[in-house]
Amino acid sequence: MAAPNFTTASADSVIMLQTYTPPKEVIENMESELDRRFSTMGPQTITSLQEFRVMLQYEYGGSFGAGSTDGGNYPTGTGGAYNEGIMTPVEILLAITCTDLQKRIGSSGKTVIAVNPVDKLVADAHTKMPKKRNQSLQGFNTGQIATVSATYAGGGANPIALATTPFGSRLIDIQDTVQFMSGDGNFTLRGSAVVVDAPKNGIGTGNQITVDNVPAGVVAGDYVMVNNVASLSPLFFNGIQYIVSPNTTGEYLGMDRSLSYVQSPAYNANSLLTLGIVETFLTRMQQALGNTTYNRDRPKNFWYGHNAQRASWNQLGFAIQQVTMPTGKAPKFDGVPDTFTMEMIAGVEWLLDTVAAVDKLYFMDRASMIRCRFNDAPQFVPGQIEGIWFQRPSGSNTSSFKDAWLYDAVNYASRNNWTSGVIYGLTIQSSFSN
Amino acid sequence: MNNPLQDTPAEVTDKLLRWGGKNEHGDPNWRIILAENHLVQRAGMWTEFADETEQVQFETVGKDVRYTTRQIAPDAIRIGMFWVPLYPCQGWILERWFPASAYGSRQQWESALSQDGVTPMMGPFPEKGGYFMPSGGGPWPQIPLLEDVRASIAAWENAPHLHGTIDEAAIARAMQRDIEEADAKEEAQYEAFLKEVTYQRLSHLESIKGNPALSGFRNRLVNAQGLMSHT
Repeated sequence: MAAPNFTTASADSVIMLQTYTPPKEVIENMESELDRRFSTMGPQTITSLQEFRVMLQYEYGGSFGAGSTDGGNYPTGTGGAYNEGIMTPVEILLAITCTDLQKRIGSSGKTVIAVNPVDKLVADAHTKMPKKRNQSLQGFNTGQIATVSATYAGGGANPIALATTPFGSRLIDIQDTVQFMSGDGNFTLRGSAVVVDAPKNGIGTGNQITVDNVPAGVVAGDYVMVNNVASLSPLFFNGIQYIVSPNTTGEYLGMDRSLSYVQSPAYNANSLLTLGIVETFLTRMQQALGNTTYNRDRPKNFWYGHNAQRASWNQLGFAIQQVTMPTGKAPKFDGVPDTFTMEMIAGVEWLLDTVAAVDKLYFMDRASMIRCRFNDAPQFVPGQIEGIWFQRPSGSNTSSFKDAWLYDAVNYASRNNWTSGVIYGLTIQSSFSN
Repeated sequence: MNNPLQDTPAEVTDKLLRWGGKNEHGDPNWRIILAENHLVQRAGMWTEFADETEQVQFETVGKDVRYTTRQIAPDAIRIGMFWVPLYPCQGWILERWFPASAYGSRQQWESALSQDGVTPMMGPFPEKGGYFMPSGGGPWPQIPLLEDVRASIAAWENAPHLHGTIDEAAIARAMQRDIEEADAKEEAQYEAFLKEVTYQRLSHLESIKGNPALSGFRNRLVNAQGLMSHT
């Protein structure tokens, strides 16, 4: 006997509605607080292709000494001493693309599609831009975002191991296009690649990236660079390793680093974060800032560092569970420090960032952090379609792709390098390198 | 005379001594002081400005901070060893005594030089340990409720951390664990989000299944309405 027809659920599948869970907001690290403090707080200087000049006075002038007006000669005097740093905005772009069908289906409403992916893409670009700026802000002024590990075998091996400190793969995201350049100081271009995977789970583990094709010639010690920065002499916007630096060679905004007033207070810890290191560094800052100024409770200072150093600080017992005032919220005693209350060192806020260098702790002065920008940035490049989209040509034909570019042009600096400092060489244990 | 406890009410010091005990040198383990009263000996070149001399004037606007700057000049530059405040803040703080090991090596402490590159900057090494404000211990504009302080002290004393001694392997494990926990937290938030969305998409009648009383009520309701299909 023939089996009865249409007696199964699968026979009814054509009338079943699909269910869904909308995408999580973003499944990637979107830390951007340091960028926000640099980039959106306080006044900015709108500039042009002409240079933005950061004027510094490092000497008041006047020659001091005893004298005699009873027949003696008057001493010769000196004038005020000035220098200037120069920087110009660096143009950066975040490119997004969609197709006409994406736009058509995306605009169909909730009964058809959970989220309009094109609208979301446009909105998310404004989140992604500060995130990428925050990542690049960790570096120097070359656009370097990672270093190929000394253990990398070369020969096209994929994945590519990255140096654990200071950043591992934490400044790189999946789908980023990155460049590889030689790490010998010549920045010789090896080629570019698209990142397929960039795991970040841990400090000593997972510091590697998988790319679509390893460019020929990538070897241990090479630099991983932001896409499209020029080879040989790459120039990107200034990062805090360039801005807050004790270096005595090289340049800062065009000024010689040997000038003491562009060298930031610093301390080479070469060990774990101890109370001795903190007190020594604070004394350096104290001498640079002036005693009375240092001792004033000022909202403009904050520490900036990676969560791993916070873990070290807590493990040593240098933190207690928050005691709040009677007018504040109730204390929480759940056995572990509350990471959502403000962390502090010596009474100064500690801004934690999972993309910060793991071997450094910065003491930043918000009032000295300055920036310049081109006018009306950031914004989407004005386009022909809906204000932002550009029609992509395809030879002599017309493609159904649409492109848009979120544009920004910024550069960052400190106008007083003595007000920010850095503890560097903080140990992260050898076990992290395993 | 440098006395960090000079402004602290005796009652506060007595209670903290009773709750927190003494260290191996006979000094209290915990104390509440004014941050500006904790002075330390430091050598080098010191630039002095008059009170209220601030190069930067702040104005808080929402979450933002705006500022204006002006040129200022130091009133004095002094060279030598001085008693100077340890903390760049003012107000009441809770301090804990830490053993000398928490300060790292004597060699490292003594090798720190002042700006002239010659003068030892840090004064005598704290060979009997010293007091430091742990994160979470202020500063406060007034002394907080002492019962809250007591609970916090108890939590610290009974916590499994290192209490100021150095154990590099334990610190390494803590650092690694912190990162892994951050990842796990993010994963858990995602799982909770999925669970919530899944729950929201369940039929409101799902909870009736398996409950005889609710099922009976439902059946009476649909019969009364003349609905023949299964609800």
